[in-house]
Amino acid sequence: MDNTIYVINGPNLNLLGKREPGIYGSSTLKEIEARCRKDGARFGADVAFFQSNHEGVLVDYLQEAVDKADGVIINAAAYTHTSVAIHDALRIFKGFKIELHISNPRARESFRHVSFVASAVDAVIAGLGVYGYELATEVMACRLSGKQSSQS
Amino acid sequence: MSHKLLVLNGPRLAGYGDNDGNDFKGATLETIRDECTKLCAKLGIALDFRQTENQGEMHHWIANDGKDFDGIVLSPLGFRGSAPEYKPAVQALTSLGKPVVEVYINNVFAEGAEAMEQVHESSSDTGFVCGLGVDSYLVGIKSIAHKLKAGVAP
Repeated sequence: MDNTIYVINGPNLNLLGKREPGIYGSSTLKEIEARCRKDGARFGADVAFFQSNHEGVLVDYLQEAVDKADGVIINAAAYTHTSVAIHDALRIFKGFKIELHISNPRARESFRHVSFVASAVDAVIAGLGVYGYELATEVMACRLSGKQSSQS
Repeated sequence: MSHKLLVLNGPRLAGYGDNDGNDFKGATLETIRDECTKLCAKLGIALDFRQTENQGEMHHWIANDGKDFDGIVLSPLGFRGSAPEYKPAVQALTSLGKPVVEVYINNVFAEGAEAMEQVHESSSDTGFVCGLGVDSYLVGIKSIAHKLKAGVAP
């Protein structure tokens, strides 16, 4: 594969499929990962999935991405609304970056309306359900392969 | 019977091919219309693509015409300052179960961008995509098509 996409997931996303399915859906992270790998492969991209409940570990993944990834999709979950450390780590990564959320944080409680991630990324996808992972992967893989748009 | 999609564009898009400070040179209204048309044809969705410089017309389309469609992509750039006026109209659509996705060509949260208030709130059917150029529209359309095909659920 030519390109590598890191998909980095924050706290509580390990409970996808069990946690508040009315908001987050019934797919597990493993199932989402499998679908994203297929989507990435269609455009020659390898997809590596990560998840941690720990802020510093997410920073470590982002630092690793500097040498190992061509694009980053990050669902920092709750840390989106609190973490300057993740913001700073994102600024170090020079490839294309997408902030991703399953639900739409700005349609929920006011404490979710701030994002420390949004100003450190190139694009934001939110509120498209877990299908947002596949759409983000597809558009990222397409972009990394040099296509102008993701018509496929 | 195929699904019907409404794509609504506000002002400042007519000049997107100009040096408007955006990163996506070539993302003119015409290229956006072409890409949306191609994608909807591929997905078997009927597309109604509109643009207006007039705020009142935009609101009218959302409040009066939106209910005749199965999904709406909303690109309100230029109308951001009047976003609160659209919220009730958008909520009326999402309460009917119609997926609405708000899209922007550029990342509206980038440093230096004006702080923005999102148009809609309080609905699990509203989505948001920015910063992907023309793909912001295409991602929004694919998301709506996926929802309509699946019959709902995130």
